[in-house]
Amino acid sequence: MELSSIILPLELSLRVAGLATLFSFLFAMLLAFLLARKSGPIPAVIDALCTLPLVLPPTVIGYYLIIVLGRRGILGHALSELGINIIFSLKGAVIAATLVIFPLIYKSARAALEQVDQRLENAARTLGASELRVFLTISLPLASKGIIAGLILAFARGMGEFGATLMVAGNIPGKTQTLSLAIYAAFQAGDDATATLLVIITSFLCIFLLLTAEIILKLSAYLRKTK
Amino acid sequence: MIQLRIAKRFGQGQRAFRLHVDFSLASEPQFAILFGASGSGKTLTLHCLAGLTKPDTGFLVVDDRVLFDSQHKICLPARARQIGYMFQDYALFPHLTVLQNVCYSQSHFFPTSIAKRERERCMELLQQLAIAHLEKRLPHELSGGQRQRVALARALYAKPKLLLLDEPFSALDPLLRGQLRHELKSILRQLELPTVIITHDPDDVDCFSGQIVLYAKGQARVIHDYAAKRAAHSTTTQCLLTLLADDIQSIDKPARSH
Repeated sequence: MELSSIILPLELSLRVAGLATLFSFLFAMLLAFLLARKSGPIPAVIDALCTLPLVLPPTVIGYYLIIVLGRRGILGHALSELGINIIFSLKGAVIAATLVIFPLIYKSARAALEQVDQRLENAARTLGASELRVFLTISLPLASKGIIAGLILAFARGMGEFGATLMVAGNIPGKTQTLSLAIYAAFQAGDDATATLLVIITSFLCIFLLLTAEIILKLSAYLRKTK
Repeated sequence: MIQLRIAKRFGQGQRAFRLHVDFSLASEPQFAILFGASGSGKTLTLHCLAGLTKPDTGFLVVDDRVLFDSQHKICLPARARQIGYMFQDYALFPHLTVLQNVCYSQSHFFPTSIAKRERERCMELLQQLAIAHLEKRLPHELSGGQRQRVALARALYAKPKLLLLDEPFSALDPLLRGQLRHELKSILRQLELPTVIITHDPDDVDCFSGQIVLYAKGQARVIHDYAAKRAAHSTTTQCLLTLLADDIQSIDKPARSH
């Protein structure tokens, strides 16, 4: 067993999950701001669409991504003219993971933002604050605990992404082979020692992340009570 | 000072609530009191004035400035109305210190960065209200009376042209109420700031003696000769009860004839 067969997938997983969490977060915040406390058919449809990656099999998401981003895809064709290739690259893995974890971040952010006392937001409005300022200086800080907990969950889910990543980015060691792909590859090759070690590392990492999320949520509940 | 004619409807059928108010208030006396049972539409009226709720139809004019006019499709956002609003439980921002709360209406985007000039103006105001020593505290570390002052300071710091107080004393200890009522009144007197106060406490009506608007079931009327009517009754409570009973009767009558 080589050390690189452990380190490389771990590093790739962290990179993919980190970048995917960041992109998902920014997009989720933008959407949450635009749809904040709005009702009607359009926000409802968008809300449902944003939840879709949670229920669709990852392979279906992968398939859609190949249709859009593949060399003969609608966007992929234009991108490959520019010399940008997404399929079978780390970019593809990041995009796949971003899509898969988006609902986790978006849903928890929406829930946390809706918990924020509307009177505080109204108070800020009467004090001359624009909607963007209300969102960034009142709503977001007060919802931050819930949002951070959602981010951690999403990061953990992103680390374990398998189906969509496999279809879009393939399983190239050192390039797109993340932890879960490396486990599958090692198991298929009969390299049980590597597989076991990767499984243990993945498990501990996820347990650690879940505990952190739990502690943050408990802490925020406790702080709210003492207030 | 304020001309107001608004209609707003919530819900459907039996459970529907309909606010339909039409009155105007003079700039003298300084205080106007909206009195009535809870659920009669007082807070909704203030929300409409402040721009937090959009009426279905009507218009709102404050000091010759049109804030809302459904016919001409005018609706200024809350941030542009220059109306101070003190919420019932004060709605202080729990994650910001007293200083950051009061300075929230400053020019800097983030409340954690405060320009020196703004800070000085804020400290002056805090000193006036005798809460300068609380500058660095968070809202949950304050007493009820202190919170009220911080909320008042925050509203005043934005230099409003009109101040709205939603049950300013209901969140306070009853023993504190009397004292703070007179203090608040003398502060507002000094500032000569037109103020609309919501209350269902007759003691507030006595203290702030101004124009009285009586609310019942989503409708309102200004009591023009309140002083004379008050003189005819032995207590304020009795006087207000009689006036309210008249209103409810006159609202219910046409409903019954249907």
